[in-house]
Amino acid sequence: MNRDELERALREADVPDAVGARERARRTVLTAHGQRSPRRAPRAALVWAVVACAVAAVVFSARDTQPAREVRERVRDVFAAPTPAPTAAPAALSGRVLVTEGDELFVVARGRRTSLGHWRDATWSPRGLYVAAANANTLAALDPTDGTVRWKLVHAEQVRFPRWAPGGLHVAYRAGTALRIVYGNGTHDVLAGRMMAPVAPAWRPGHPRTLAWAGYDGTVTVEDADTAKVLWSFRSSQVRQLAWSSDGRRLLVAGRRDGTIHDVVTGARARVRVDGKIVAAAFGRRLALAVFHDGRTSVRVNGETVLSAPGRLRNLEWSPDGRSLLAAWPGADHWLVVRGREVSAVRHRFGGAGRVRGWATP
Amino acid sequence: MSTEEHAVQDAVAGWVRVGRPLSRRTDATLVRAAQAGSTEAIDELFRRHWGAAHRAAWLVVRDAAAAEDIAQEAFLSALRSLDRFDRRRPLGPWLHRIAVNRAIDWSRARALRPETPADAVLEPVASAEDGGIGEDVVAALAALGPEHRAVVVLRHLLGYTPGEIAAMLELPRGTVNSRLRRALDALAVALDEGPA
Repeated sequence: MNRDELERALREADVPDAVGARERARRTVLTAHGQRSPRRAPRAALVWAVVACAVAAVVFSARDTQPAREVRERVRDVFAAPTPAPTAAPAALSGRVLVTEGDELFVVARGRRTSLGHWRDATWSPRGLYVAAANANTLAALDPTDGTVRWKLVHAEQVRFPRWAPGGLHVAYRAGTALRIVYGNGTHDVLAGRMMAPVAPAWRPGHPRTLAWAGYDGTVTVEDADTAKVLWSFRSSQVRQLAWSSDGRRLLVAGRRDGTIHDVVTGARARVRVDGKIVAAAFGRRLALAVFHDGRTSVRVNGETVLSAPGRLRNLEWSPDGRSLLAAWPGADHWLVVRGREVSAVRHRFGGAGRVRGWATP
Repeated sequence: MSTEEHAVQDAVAGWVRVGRPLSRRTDATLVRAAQAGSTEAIDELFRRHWGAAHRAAWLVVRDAAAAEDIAQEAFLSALRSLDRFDRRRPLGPWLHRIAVNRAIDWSRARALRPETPADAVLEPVASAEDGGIGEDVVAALAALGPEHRAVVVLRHLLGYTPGEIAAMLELPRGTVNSRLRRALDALAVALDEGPA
């Protein structure tokens, strides 16, 4: 065999299903590109905003002037609004929301809900093209328009917490007490960890193969899903939730009454202490925590209370653009959507068992 | 088309890149158009680079479904980084680097985490059978380790120099050369020719 023969053999080897693979990948790539916002040049408004910030900085630096006092009072007014009155505004819930009620899964979009079948837990694929759903001992990928099952895996143990990786390549889930990872097309289902705590694993945004998961012994492991290489490992006394910031830099490890934010770039840690129980958390560009205390749940974004209501809140979800926060109280006939200083109430028809599982783009 | 019309078209294309067929544009021009949101530009980049990336991934992993996912993920990674992409750099080597490195990782992981079957997989996967002119060569290649398969593919399918391969795989050039030598010797033995 000479060099030409080797090169010809490599060039002409039949790649199985090459045409089908090419068309599937082409559709996926073009769809992903269609959902991407084109790069824009900085606008004049942005320039003016920067100038305004600079002026404000000058004003703040002159501490005892009358303008400085006025600006400080206005800033306090903006952020000290703990109990806003909700108003009906369905438009606040743009996009598609996944909801489970008992053992039925729904997609809610434009005020309408569509049943996807009998599933108890679910998650969106990164671009909202599919839904990974679990029920009893089955994991499946569904078409979100009508619930058509694209593939499914049946295990001997109970399947919970499906979470789709940001690149779309993997789905991590818990089967029995094991962490398992399967390719997004349902193939190559592998055992990836043992003695996994009943806590949803969390994929690192911007890093399509990096996964954080918690063990029964309180060990939080951040590892590469393909190579099983452990990138970081933390010990925590109690883990109830894991959540990454949207830049993939900080990982919240939340327990029942406190939490720790690990900066995986610098190694720095910051404690999060609250005066109650952490019942829900959502980490996007900002950290949102729902804290239950004395029969009420207050929702705090970066430490500022933005909502407070009687009862124990169940779900917090940031919108796909990271600007709106959805809060769901069991038994309430509406979801509250916080966007800036505005709070909207979006009516729904789910009962006390309804749980929000994800929020995707339209 | 007259010479004068050609000149006018070239002048226009030089400024606004209108009127020149996509297939005649450079990767850098297409990347710039894609950054501005052009779907046609992405489609053309995909058409140019998919085949090599997919074939390279398959030759390293020898698994149709994994190769498809790996090559697709390489393109999606490129899309995610499109706004930061330096148009002075060629796109192909960047895609090949992502695809081949992930293919090596995947192959190592299969050895580390052997696949365990579930009871049912409804979606059929492609047949693992292959054929064609170089069946023996491809079968012999599959018997090598993923690191050796990768350097053979990068050198003899994609045409990179050992220095370029060393940069892509973040290895010393000497390691690349020794892996190439060992891989070619192993292929020759497998094809019953004795060491080359």
